[in-house]
Amino acid sequence: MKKTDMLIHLSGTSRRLLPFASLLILIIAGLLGCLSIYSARAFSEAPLYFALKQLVWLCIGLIVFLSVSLIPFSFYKKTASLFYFLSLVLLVLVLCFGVEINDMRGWFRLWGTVNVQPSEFAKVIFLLYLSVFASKGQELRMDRILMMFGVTFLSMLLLMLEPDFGGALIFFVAFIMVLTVCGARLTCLLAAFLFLLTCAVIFVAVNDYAMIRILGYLAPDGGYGVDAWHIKQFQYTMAHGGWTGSAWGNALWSSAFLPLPHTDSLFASIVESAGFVGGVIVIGGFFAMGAGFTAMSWKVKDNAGRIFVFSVGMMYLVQALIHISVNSVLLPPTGVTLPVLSYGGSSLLSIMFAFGIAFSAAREE
Amino acid sequence: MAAGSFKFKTLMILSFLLIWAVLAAAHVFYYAVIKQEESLAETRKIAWREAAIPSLRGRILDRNGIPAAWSELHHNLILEKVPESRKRRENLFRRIRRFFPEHELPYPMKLPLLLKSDLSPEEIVLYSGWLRSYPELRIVPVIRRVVIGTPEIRSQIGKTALNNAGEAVGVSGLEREYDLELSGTSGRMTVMLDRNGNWCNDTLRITRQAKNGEDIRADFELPPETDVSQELPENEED
Amino acid sequence: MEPFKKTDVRMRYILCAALLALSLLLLGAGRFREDLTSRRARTLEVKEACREAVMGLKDGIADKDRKAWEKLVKANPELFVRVCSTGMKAK
Repeated sequence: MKKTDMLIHLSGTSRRLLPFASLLILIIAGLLGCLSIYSARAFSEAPLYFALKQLVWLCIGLIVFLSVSLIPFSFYKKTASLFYFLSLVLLVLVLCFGVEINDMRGWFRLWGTVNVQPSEFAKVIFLLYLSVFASKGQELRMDRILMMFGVTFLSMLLLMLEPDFGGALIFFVAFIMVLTVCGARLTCLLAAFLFLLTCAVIFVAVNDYAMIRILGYLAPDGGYGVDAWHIKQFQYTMAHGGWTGSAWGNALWSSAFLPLPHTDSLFASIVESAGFVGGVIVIGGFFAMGAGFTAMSWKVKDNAGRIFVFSVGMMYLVQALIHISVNSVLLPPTGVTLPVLSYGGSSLLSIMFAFGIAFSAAREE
Repeated sequence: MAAGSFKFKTLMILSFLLIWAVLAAAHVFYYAVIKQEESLAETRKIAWREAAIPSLRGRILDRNGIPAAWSELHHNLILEKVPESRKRRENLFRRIRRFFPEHELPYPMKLPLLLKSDLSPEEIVLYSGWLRSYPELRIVPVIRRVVIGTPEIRSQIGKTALNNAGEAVGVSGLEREYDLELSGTSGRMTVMLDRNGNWCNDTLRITRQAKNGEDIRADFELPPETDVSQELPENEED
Repeated sequence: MEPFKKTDVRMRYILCAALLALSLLLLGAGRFREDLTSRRARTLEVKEACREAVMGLKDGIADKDRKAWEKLVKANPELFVRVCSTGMKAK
């Protein structure tokens, strides 16, 4: 056995303990999320409101994670198509009957202030479906690539109609990950990126706000309204953090100026509280998560399982990197949240759901 | 799918993401550390404000210790700006019309618009609830100098006017002669405003307490029948 | 539950790292509590200073409103500083 294989070797006991060790890590990450959310809203009228709600979602999410991870992966493989179909139906229904939040029709109102965002769950099911579909047969032929592309396009189209370009982008990331690990040729990948570029151009042409966002990003001092102002606020918020931050619960600039500091702008708020050092720890943490999922995928024997385990880790790592890049002014604003840490019940539950399936795949002998 | 090829591809993707993560960290470093001072100086200009807390000018008493001139503090509710967003503007106008039907509120209008003068303390608390949703509204203090007595006495007392700092100074009569004693020192405070112009919680600091002016006693005697209703506002200061 | 085998070194590292992170989180929570306490004390100080600043203007309030003024200033000192302040300008 090679040295790397030795390192990632999981014995029977480890396999059984894996979900519990991960649970501990998820609890810590979830609590850190609650702390970050509190800090981001510390100077608002109700500083604990979102943090406590997130704590409730975290408790429910952990139960979801454990329950989902205990179900054998073969069940998910069998039901992937059915769940994918149901998720598409939900994405269509939300366009017709959903409620609009932040100019996006992407939520179902369950009761009171509790809303569910079906696209969060749809992306996990989409990835599962894609992994199962891609794992069938030895080689990834062109007709199957086109089929996968069609499925991706359909899901992305439904999200862009909300309009949620950030969400659609994550679907595309999932597609690219599966395509790459399944051995698609470079030309296929280039064609996929060309497709993304075309989608982005059409989206920007149809939605004025997207064009203003890009202009605002390119020239934050150029007077492109709210979006340029938003980018300046990211810069100012990080400046308040310095090397080690202004302490938890003291993120004054985030509370006062940063739009959505507990969701779309959470990373900048964390940098204000914990500084550059805290920011690097968060980036490192997400990268470690990605590396962990990669190492875990190497040991999964089932083809669909390993594609899913790797892709799910990468999908959330890329989502985190997009969020971090937007917040650190490396990319224009896209409206993507920071996995696990950002406020949002649907987002947290869907992550726990995805991780649960991944651990179910990893545990399978 | 061969395990070796799978590992290679996953490591390739992971390496690409590592470069991305390092780039993002470098950006954070640039804005949080390298550009910190420059950005903080800009934020101080944007958000932090300094304001004065007025002091009361001392009273002028007659030889029996009865006040003949004093300052009164009143509060007015004004509309300083009109919201730019149509929806907010309509909501605000609807609210104003409901509470103050006497205002027609044409758009555009001459601003600032006085909505209600002489608010009672209870009204101050009531209308201040509106300020969070509509920072375009303001409750402003107005200090009126009230002078009573016969025309001769009033002429002896003199007049005050506002200087550039918005403080009352004596320009004639006793008001001028004893300006040093009568004038108080205004207090100072700092506060941070949020993106809507609201005051941020926990950011208010009183940097200097206001000190009211001293009372002076004059030689004249107010006639016994002097009625306070004869008061004459000499000036107003905001 | 079986005890760890020697080959479970990696799992032990993960658990140790998780426990270490949890301890740091608890430590952070402790500091956070201290911060909250000192912030509360500072808020009380500021409230007192605001009360003092606004009570100084009590003599200028009409007699009929003076009682209500005193009562409401005690309850909302920052609000009354806000409505009494003038000449706001950038620092």
